[in-house]
Amino acid sequence: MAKSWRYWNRVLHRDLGYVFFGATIIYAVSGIALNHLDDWNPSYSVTHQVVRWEGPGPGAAISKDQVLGFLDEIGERDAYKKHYNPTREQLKIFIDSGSVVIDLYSGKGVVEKLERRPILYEFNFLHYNPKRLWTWYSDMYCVALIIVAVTGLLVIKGTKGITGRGAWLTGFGILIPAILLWMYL
Amino acid sequence: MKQSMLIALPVLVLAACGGAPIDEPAAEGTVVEEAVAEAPAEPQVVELAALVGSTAAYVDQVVTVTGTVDHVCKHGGKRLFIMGEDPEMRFKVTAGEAIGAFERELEGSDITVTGIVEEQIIDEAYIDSLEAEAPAEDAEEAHAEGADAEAEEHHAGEGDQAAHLRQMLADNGSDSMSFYSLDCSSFEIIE
Repeated sequence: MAKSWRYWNRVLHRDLGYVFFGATIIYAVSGIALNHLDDWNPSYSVTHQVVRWEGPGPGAAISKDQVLGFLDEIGERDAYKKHYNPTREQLKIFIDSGSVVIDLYSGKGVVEKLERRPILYEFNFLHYNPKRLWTWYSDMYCVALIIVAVTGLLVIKGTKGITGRGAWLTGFGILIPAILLWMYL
Repeated sequence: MKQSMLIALPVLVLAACGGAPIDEPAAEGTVVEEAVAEAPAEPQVVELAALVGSTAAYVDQVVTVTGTVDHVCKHGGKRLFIMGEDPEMRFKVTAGEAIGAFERELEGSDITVTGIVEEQIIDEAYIDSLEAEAPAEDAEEAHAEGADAEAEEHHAGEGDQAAHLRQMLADNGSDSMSFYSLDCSSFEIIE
């Protein structure tokens, strides 16, 4: 006996849901993370530590040995990468996964260290920085989402389906972005 | 079961057609490059000083240049700046499609970058087009349109990008300004 269109609709809805479960989680989790860029760094945990520079002041030549000696004091000697003076009053030292910026007038320095947030870094990378292959895959995902959304409307029939309760809920879901759009524009 | 497989298989095959898995982040000493069908022009190796000094002469050309990464854009790593021995000598590098994004850990590393030199002309028409775009457009995207190094550093979300550019034009006393960047197709971290 031939299967009904509703059967195939259900199969499509269900199997696309399975296939793109991973992409949904990646986009949903990183979407929340990236929505709040102003409040935090979603990819890196950033720590700051105030340190004291006792070396030469503004304008003086600062040697690598002096910088290494300073890094030794703060336990970052092995992390040294490079240093330079962005301005006459400032010294910037690059260290592995971070930097030290020193005000040569006051001697106050701030060590900034970065640590990738597990899982979030990878999810955000995929969400925010697509390369070609991921772009293709995410395009497929977007098409699948549309199909899942449309087939989802037709999974159930009857009073809880799209002709009953489903219509009200679907309308509500469309109304929310419409209202926000009206408010913003 | 058969019906389920009928649905699932084409999707999986399509996904597999993508080929290789997502590239791993670049390890030190490795070249990040995308295999593209059309081979790019042979890059000219140029000194950073020459590129900064005569950028207009290199527009639309493929160049390779070496410098120290001074700053990687905090919001997504789409851009970085390389500098020479003189920190005033800086050049903006954008992550091409093959790169995706730069990791912040690159700051302080010496890198050799290959890419196409691009010119963004900022004039009234450009600024008007910026303003005409969605008012709520994310500032990150706004400055991605070709804003200058200074705006990049300060992330124009804190101010009005268009007004900032207008002010720069006024300060410069001209109708237009050019901002240059290198659209990076590959880079190598120098040990």
